[in-house]
Amino acid sequence: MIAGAVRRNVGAALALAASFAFAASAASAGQEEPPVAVDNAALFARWQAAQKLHAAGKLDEARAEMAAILAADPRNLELALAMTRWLAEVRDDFATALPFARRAAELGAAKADAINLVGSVLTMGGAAAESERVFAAGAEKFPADFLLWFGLGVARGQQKKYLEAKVAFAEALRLAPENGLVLFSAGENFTNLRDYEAAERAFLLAVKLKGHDDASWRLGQVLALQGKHEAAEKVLTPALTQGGKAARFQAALQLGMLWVERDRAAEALPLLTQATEERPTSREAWRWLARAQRALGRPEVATRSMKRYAELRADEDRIEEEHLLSLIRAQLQGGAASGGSGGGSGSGSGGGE
Amino acid sequence: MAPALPALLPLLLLALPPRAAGAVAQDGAAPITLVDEAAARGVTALLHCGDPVKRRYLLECIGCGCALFDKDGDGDLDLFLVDAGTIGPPPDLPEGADPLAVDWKPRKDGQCRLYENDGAGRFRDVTEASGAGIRVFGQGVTAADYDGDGDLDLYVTCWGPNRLLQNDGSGRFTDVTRGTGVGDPHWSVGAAFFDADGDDDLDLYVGNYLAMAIARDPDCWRKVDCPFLDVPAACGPKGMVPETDSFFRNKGDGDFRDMSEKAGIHDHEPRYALGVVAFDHDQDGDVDVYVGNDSRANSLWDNDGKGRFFDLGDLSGAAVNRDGVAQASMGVACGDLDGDGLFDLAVTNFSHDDNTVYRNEGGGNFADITARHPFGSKAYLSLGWGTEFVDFDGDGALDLFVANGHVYPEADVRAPELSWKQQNRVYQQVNGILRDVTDTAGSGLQRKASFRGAAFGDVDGDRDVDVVVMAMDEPPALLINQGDGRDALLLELRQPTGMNRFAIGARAVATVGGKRLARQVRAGGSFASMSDLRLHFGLGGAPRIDRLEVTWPDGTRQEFGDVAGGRTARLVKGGAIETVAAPSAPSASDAGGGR
Repeated sequence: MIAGAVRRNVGAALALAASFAFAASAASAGQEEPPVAVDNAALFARWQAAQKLHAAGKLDEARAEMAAILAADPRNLELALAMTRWLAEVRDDFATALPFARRAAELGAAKADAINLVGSVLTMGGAAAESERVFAAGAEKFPADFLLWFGLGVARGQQKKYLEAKVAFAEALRLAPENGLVLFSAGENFTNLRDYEAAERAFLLAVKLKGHDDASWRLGQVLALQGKHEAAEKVLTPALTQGGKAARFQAALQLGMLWVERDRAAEALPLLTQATEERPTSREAWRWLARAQRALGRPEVATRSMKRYAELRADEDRIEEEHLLSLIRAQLQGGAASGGSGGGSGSGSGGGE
Repeated sequence: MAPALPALLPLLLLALPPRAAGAVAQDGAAPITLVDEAAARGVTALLHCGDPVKRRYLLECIGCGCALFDKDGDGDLDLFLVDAGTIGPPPDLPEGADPLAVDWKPRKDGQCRLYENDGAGRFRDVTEASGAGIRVFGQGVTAADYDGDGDLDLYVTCWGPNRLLQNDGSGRFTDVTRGTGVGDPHWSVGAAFFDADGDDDLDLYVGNYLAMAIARDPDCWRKVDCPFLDVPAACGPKGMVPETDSFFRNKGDGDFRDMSEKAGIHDHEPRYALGVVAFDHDQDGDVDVYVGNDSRANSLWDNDGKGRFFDLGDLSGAAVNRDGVAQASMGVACGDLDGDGLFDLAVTNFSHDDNTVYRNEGGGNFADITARHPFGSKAYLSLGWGTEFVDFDGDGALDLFVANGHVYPEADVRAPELSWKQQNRVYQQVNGILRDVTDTAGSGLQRKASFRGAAFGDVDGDRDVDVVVMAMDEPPALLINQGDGRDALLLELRQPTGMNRFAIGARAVATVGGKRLARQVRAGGSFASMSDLRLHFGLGGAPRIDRLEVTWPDGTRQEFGDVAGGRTARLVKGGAIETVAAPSAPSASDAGGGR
């Protein structure tokens, strides 16, 4: 159950990642490599060297050197911000960016774009609670900045605070009603709140505004969930050939599911077969393919498909189990069990895709 | 630049008020009113499951079930409440001690309670004299006549060996676990009696959860403070050692043999079982088993008619939700929601998740139709346990009840979205849609507690469905239905001979004004609980049932035309339907309190 929400949050997180481009273009247009505001030439040289190490894939060395640079000038906000920005925007390395973002937050990043950067990196780095605090303070300071409200919504959504996220997204939409990305994320949040009618409306506008690559198949999905089968088919059919590969895969899977449920297994079969070929690690593609095969009276091939599905599910269960056990072992050895909010204990995740 | 209207639309849409709960009046459905009359009717037991101050282990979080059953054959429903007490500290393990040489045991400071019904729904605690007041770490209960002597016995699931309590017919019980072979030593929760192999006697399926035993998991007692939304809480179920379910075949003389392996139950990996219901999913005449598993795919054990099972869950669509997510399932409801004669399922799940409704599409296929019912965010944020499809308003269409309460007391730190104590919720079926009418369905639903198991049945003899709901560290709720059951038929099915006198597994389909109402006699279901064995047919104002078809467990059929409602009746196999209680004024139910 938790996993279902987490899975959907991935969409919002990806949306946030896309928002970096938006934020970057707004804040630092034309800057391929953000400047490092250090007056120490030696430090600047070290920074350039660390960047080269990172670009060369020597991540451990790069991280160590970057940490050393920051330690050499621990009160330098611009340095922390520049390192955060470069790692996040240029290198897409949120894990390494996280401590620098934290430092920037501690040093009191004051400009709206800096707050957005720090908050976004915290979210992408899995520190959603910290991110929420950063965005909440930023939104209070810059109440007219829709990106800060948007980031606040995403951070709250990551923590499953969907009711509070709804408030933040609503404010972001009040400030930027034509922003398709915000609409898409608001739609994700409405889905998490099981308000499918509102989600449908938000996704519909997100599709029109080209807010996110996943908007079309998500719209088709919520239509199907509500039993609006014809409308779902109308949305999903063109989505088969639109957008990126991942979005097209999802559209095929959703349409295949819809057709299996509508006793149209013969039509679903080629779609789902293709889906398993495109993404052989998608257990859901295998499961729905098996259901289509079974509906068509092919129990032997259905059994084979189910076997593949079961193997994939077992792999996912094992990975999650090992993660949990590693947390428990760490605790048994004296450290606090930590890491990951939400799915760790209790009844939890099953793992969507 | 986008056109002005689309730009404004999201603001307008977001500003719309949420759909009002309880669209009952405007849809013309009769209101549902449930009033908690537990104290007024004498049900005051304070029951515990674990340390109420700090629940360190999942063992202390799961809670207990209850049973509504007729212990003494006087025609009314008596009440058995399961108690767990506390677990005490883990065993003292001096350095160098073999942890397998000791094990962890309950304190036995709790005691299961038995209440006797006076026929009008007033209860008297008869625990001490009944012999049913066992001191175990109890979890769930089911009731059936396992020995074919014509009375209902009790099977109590526990952390530690389960207990079989034999009824002498008068409501006095003797623990006969030793020697009958059903003292399953695992941590068991849900259980169901049914005739798996068509030999007329009642077999037993037991859902087992996880190993909280040092002998099975030497580190289990050290697994504490796992992160739940960044807050330390009890660990599990993932990260703990799951247990395999058990299947016990009745040898025909009241003794059982563990046939789990031969029956196929061991063919798939253990899955943290909680809710168990036995029903015929494919109308092939035998009884199958559906198991709600916590954080693992649910199981649909398809019976080959000889007591050999194959898990059809994944292929059927009833194992995971539509997204393919294995949910953390707790309780299971089973009933013909849409009147097509096939039994549908509802599964209660963890917070931040749906309670999933699976429509039985026939042929062993189920479709997740949850989103077609406007359950909304309140259901999504609640954590569900006991549940059943019941006809609260007597219109013939099944409604849905869900008992709620969080697993972790630590949920309170996330208020307002989450809380340890939650409201139970009622979803009324109107025009085929289940709508949340909790806010208008009586004061009994406004109480917040950490509710768990729920049992359903006509407690006060007015032929509508009342509910008992267990609560953690509080007395249970006894929700008396204030509705009008005057035209309903409450039908008791009996077999005159053999080992299955209460006709567990029998099925009856009533045709009323073109609608078909299918019901099945079941021993087990909901969450760890046992409900009224009598079949309830609300006739929606019609005076009679046009046609009633009864299919007995052996496949024998009987048909009746023009069956009068407004009564409690008994049908003994091969005989005629006989009234056992004359129509009475519905107000007789109101003994305990106002509306």
